[in-house]
Amino acid sequence: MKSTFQSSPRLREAVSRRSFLAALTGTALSNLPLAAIAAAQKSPNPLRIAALDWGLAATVLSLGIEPVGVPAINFYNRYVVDPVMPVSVVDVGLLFTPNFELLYELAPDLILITPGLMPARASLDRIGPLMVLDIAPRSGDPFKQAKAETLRLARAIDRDATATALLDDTTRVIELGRQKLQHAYDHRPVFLINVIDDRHIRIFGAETLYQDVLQSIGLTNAWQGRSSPLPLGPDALLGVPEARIIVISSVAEQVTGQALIASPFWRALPNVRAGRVHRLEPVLDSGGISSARRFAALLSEALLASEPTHG
Amino acid sequence: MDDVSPLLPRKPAHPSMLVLGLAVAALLLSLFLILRAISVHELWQALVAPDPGNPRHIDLRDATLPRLVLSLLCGTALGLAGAIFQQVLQNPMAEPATLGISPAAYLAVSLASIWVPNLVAGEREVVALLGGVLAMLTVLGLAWRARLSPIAVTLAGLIVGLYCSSFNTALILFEDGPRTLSLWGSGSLDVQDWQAVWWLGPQLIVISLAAVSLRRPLNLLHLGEAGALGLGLSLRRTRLIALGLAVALSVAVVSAVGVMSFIGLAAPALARLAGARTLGQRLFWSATLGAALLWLSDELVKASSILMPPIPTGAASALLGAPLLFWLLPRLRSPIHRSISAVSHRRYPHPSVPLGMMLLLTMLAMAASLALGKGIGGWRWSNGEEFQALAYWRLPRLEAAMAAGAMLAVAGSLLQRLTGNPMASPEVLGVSTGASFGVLAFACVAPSMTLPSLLVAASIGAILSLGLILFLGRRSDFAPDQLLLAGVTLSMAFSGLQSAVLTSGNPRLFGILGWLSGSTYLVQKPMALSACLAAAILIGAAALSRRWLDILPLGSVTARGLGVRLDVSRSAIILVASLLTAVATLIVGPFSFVGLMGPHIVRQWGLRRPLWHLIGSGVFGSLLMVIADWLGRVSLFPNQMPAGLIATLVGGLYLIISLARRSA
Repeated sequence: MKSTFQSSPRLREAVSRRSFLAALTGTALSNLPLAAIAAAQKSPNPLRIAALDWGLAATVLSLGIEPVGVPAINFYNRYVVDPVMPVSVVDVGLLFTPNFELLYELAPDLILITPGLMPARASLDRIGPLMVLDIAPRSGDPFKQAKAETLRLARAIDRDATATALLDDTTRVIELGRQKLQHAYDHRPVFLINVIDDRHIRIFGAETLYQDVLQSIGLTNAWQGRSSPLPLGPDALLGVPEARIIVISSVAEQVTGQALIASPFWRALPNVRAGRVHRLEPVLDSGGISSARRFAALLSEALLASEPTHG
Repeated sequence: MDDVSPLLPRKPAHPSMLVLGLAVAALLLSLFLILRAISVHELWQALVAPDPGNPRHIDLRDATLPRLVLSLLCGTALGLAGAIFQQVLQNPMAEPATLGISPAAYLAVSLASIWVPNLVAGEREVVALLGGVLAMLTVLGLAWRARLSPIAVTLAGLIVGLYCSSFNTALILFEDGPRTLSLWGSGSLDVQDWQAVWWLGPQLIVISLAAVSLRRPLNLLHLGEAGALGLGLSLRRTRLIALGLAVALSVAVVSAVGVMSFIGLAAPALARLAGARTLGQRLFWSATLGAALLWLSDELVKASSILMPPIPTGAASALLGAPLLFWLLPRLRSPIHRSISAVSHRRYPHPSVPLGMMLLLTMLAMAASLALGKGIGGWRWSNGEEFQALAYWRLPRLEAAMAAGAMLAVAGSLLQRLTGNPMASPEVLGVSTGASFGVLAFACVAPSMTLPSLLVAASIGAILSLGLILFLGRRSDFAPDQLLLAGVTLSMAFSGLQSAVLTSGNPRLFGILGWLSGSTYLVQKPMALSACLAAAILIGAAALSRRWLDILPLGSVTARGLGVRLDVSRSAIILVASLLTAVATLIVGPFSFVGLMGPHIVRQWGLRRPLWHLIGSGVFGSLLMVIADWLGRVSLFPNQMPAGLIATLVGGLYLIISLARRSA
């Protein structure tokens, strides 16, 4: 499906984008040149945005703009899934080493980066105006911050209405899930885990996007405190035998993870023996609002689907 | 000839005392750790009648106990494999890791995971076996002409192992499968079931029985070919069968728990030290000591994880193993001495001819690197405005890479002259590794990292490691291969440290890892200029020492006779070589091998006088790095390969080939 925002290269040349860029770079070192971008919005050509992070790419897409460049798109397709990345978007290299030359050729009007890419700031500044967005902080209130950063981005690129609609829709999905679960769910706490390899898992705790959504949807996390920074053995799940285990799909699972699920120890876990394990399709914890919405939908669907058997 | 005889102890104690001591320590630690989680009363209940609903019982029965049994099994296998390798190769340093077998098995499984995810244990072992056998054949092939001398075999093994680890690092950077395997690969005994035990146990029993049945013919190996033939034995067949068994043992361990170095080396050494004399004794006590050692190491790792982030058992054992290797080194006999000053009978053109050609080539390569690249539509030759715009990114990394290449090659030239050893280089002697040690240690303690402070840390690391290597070398009067072994050992210990960092999950150290693989990606103008400046100053300083470089390879007596103060001249050269290496390592990482290739190749082209050699090496080193940097930019476009990694993969191959061509 082709977005209406996409322009042909010929049109872009017609408005002499180079001169427009030149006007931008002069102000690039201050914050975001809002006026210049607003001017671009009024021109017949939409913004050419390079989103150098999967969460930022998802955010840009859910604001209705097709980015021109995104790093490691095959990873995006496996981890983020939704919103779907159009095939026309150019892969600009690995996540922490985006290809400067390719970006230069793409000539974006705006480059979105996370704080993780700050070391490359000087090089990226040459290519186009930068905007640093921290939609997935490692601590604090990720969901709240993702909302705020999404709105900030929307304001900068004149998509306020779309952003508000996105946030409203997300709230609606979460509220719907909460209402359904309130009546139909047994209110057991849940573990949110990734399988890392055949012997290790990652457990998500406080100050993650998942946890924030979990709370909004009216559930409690069985894992106390913050996520473990290191891989854990599944014995870490022994602490709360009455909990449900939510396995959020990861690529690692396809390599060795099925061995974990098949192992006697895993099968001996009280939660597993009672059938309290649910698997979710991949969803990225640093994927911003659209991932929060996806997670809320997947989670409530999984818990509701299984409920009758364990009433 | 029995190479291991110097290891016989002065005061023999019985091996059983040693095993008992280790086992008691391990047992106490095990009990302490178990009783932290479960009471004595419950422990009994959990063992006799475990309650499947009680998590603590499951934990004990399906995690703690199998892990303990697995550590005993793996330790036994490694100890036994080490003892067999050492007997067959008559080499006290042979073991699965130093022979390159376990790293190669790991690499094979890693590679397989890209195309065939979800290997089950049996398939994984077949793949690992393939890798292990290939590595063994490569190592034997490389050392064949040197009549499988202990030193030649160990050197080949360590290099093959190092190459496999570097290759694996490259895979981890780009592929999901190998990244998923990195926890397993760094040697983790973490299990939650008895599967690995049931899988490994029977294999171990079968192979051990086979090994014991080979005891008699194996025992005759040290009689030499003639003696054994007199007794009607085919030495070759016995050796091959025994090697095959040891490879199978090592590979079975790798496929179950990843790479565990040190145990296969330490257990046989300790067995001999404790008085195990006959082969039967040595096999038995090596196996038992291996079990006790790995058990104790694993309990120590578990105990340490109460206080700090857990490190993989394999990484811990690699770190513990390095000092032991160093201690064993002087006890190796080196049969081959060769000198760099060997007179060549070939006639070469005037040095300015090859040098001129190299300069021309370098200039062409620079122009091509700046103008030729890939874009959206594929290959593209840029000029005019586009060329200038792209130069903003292309030029600094090119300059920095060239400066680093030149510095490494000049350091290599200095070290080859200093030690009189044509295989010496900052990478092979572990000087680059020392620089990285410095940076990594600094990163662990320092609040923030600035370029000057990193440089100081790298320099201190480089000077200390070169000092250590040369100190060790002096004891064997700079016997070439002793030096190389010491250096490669240092690098191996470092790769253990690196895998501990890789799995530690510390994001700050993760950034360091990107640097360790030698990326020029973030180099900007100021850094490029500083690199060029440092290169100019240090290479100038190196050139000033050309008289010393002419005289030192002639030997200490001649040098003193010619009025050269050995301590002053040596220290000065060590300092300059260390600083050159430190700056270069900060740019392209520790394992580039440019410092080996540069001097090696230009000497073959006839640049033999010190000054010509120095300059030629520098030019050739920068040419190599221009090519590596360019390849890194375009080979996996739009992804970027670190230039240092490309140089490692190309340089490592060159090292292996040149090792093979070294005639005995």
